[in-house]
Amino acid sequence: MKILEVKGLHAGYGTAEVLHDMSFDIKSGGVTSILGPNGAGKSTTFKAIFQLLNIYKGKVYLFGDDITGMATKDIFNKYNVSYVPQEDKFYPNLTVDENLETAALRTKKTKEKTKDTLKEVYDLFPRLLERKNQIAHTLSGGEKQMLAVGRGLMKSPDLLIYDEPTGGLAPVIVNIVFDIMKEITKKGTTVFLAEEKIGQSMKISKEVLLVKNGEIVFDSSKSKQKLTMKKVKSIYM
Amino acid sequence: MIDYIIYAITIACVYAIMGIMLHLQFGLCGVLNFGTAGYFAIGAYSVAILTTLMGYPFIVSVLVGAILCAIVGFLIGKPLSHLSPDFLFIVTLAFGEIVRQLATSEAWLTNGVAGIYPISNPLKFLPFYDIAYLFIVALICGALIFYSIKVRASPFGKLLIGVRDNPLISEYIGKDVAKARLTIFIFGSMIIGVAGSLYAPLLGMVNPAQFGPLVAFVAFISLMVGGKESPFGSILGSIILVFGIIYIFDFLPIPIIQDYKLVFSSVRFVVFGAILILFLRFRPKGLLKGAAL
Amino acid sequence: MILMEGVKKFFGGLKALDIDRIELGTHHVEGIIGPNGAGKSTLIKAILNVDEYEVNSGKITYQGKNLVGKKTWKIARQGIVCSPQAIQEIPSLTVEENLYLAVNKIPEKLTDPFLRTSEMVKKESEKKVEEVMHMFSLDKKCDCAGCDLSTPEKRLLNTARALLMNPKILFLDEPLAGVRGKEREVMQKFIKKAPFPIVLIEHSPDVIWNTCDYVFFMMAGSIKIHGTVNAVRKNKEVIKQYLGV
Repeated sequence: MKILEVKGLHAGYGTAEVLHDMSFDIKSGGVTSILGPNGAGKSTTFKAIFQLLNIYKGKVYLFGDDITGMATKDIFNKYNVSYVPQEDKFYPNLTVDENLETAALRTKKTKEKTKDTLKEVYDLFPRLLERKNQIAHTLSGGEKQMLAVGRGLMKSPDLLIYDEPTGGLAPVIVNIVFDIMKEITKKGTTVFLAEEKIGQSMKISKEVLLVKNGEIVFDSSKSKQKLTMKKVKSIYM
Repeated sequence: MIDYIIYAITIACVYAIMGIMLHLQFGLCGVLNFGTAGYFAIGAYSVAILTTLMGYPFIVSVLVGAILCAIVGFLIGKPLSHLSPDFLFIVTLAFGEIVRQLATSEAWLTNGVAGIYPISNPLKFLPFYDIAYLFIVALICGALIFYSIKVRASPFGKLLIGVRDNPLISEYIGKDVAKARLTIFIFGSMIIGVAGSLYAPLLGMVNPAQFGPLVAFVAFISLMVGGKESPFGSILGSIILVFGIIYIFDFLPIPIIQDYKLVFSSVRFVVFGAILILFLRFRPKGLLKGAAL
Repeated sequence: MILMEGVKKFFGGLKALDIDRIELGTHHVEGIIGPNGAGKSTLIKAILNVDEYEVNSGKITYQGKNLVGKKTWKIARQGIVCSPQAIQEIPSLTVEENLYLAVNKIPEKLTDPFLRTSEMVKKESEKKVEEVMHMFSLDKKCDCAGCDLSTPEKRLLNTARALLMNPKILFLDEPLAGVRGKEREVMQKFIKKAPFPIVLIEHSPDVIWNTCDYVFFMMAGSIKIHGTVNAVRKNKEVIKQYLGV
């Protein structure tokens, strides 16, 4: 089942077109990665999906519905999708617990269900449970990342869109983050991940999209060949 | 009646001179000078003290006033020239108030709250001196309008606009932003001082109460209503505000308004404030958007 | 041409720059690459001593003359020109006026209207301004740069204006972001043919590998690796960082 479809998307900032003729599908289950070095257009793609930029041409379909031109807040209210952005991932002056609770309020869940989801998130991230009353901006880099994902999971989303989670993290924490993503998919959530760490992302991904200069230059779902690091190097270097 | 009209037009020209300077400083360069009353007062008191009290020729007082304003403008402007308009607003407003307070407290110089009078018209020896005076004031006003039209088309004017629109990129392209701001600040302050000197003989007296913060506020509201980017903006704005609003109340034959004329004259500042807010919301560039030329 | 030694820049507790020793401007086109937050733009702003970017320690010299603590506009006048990130036009002026403003041959004065400075400036620089306008295809008539130009055109205006300043070295911070098609070709052609050294911050791998002669790879405020473009391209450490293997 295609949970996200992008067709012929041209988008940008003001009159500067940054994404060109982008077309791809995300099928349900597992991790799909959109990869490329800094500035290739990964975050911009996410922003375009959520209608945070100017879309000049093309369409975006979420769970089968045409969401092109829809107000961003309506997208989040209507569909069971979560977005963990690169910046502003949580409220820095609230505690871990408060951050997670506020992420659930939006979905109009009953108190009981929120409690269950909260417990699930704490089970996934025991370190957050230990620090549940700690102010968010005092957490370590890895813990902040966990909190950001935790917030995204409070909706029990069908699709989690995750923008560059491993930026600035130590290799040990990076591994933990990639493990977390595998765990999340086991519970039935599809993850759409943007990352600069191409090699590691490829290992956990079901499908891979490579982006360069705002265009998709490789789509594993449409390619007969398997993607190798050699091919990646030839594309970017 | 004729006397009154000549008087009114001369006052209007004096205010226009002030408005043109605000157009150059704020409209073109983004330099916010709320201390207009201070420079106005320095010019006016210069005439009052040097000419009326001490007998120096009028022209000398005007020159001394202008030089004083330039010096003060430099002292205040220099530390502020690399700061944003927000700081300028507070500091220049404070400056205006300080001048007024000094005029009140330094009675040995300024005769305090009582003020100095009578200040006679320097052209009094001429027949029809009031028309002659109007002619000179209007000439100065006209020259300044001409200058401001020319300056916009000149490299200096373009520099000012660049400094207003994008001071950062102006630095990147090799422009001394602080110097540009300081130059227009000093120049404007000097000419506002001259306007003050021309104003003193019209009223015949000066006292501290005339130079309160309202001077700056009315001047700026006129500027914003008329259009800060056009040299004619403040003139149009003053005509609308000063003559339009006030005289509507004087001449409307509706009995209720006539009865409450006194109340309305105090309430006019509320009206001015409301007009300013409406303009900033719906027509921030004012009536004459600046393309008037 | 520009030497940076022992340069450190902190923003509060955050170390934004930590440079042992580099020299910029010794090759025709030098590229600076690296992840977000690596300090690429900060490096350039430190050289130009932009507000709040004055370095905390170290030396920055241009042909032996010190740049630290000098005013940005003076540094620019020496020929160290930067076309910064993001759109930086003067919106109320026309394209022509934006360009003439950068020439800096005749100083602007309060007395300009009386001295007919406008005519003098035009006479002095008309040819050069028109040449540059034509080179960047900015000839079209416009009333205000802010409202009549598209974003890519504004980027070209930025660069055109920098060219008019007679640069001895030109820093371009992401000049091609969002610039496509014809405008992209114009920009790339200009970079290749410029008669002075260019230091380029760019994300597009094609631009870096095809246009630069020398590349600096930055991370966390320092230059981790630098070398000729072919050497850097094949460097295992760069590939590892760039592609996150």
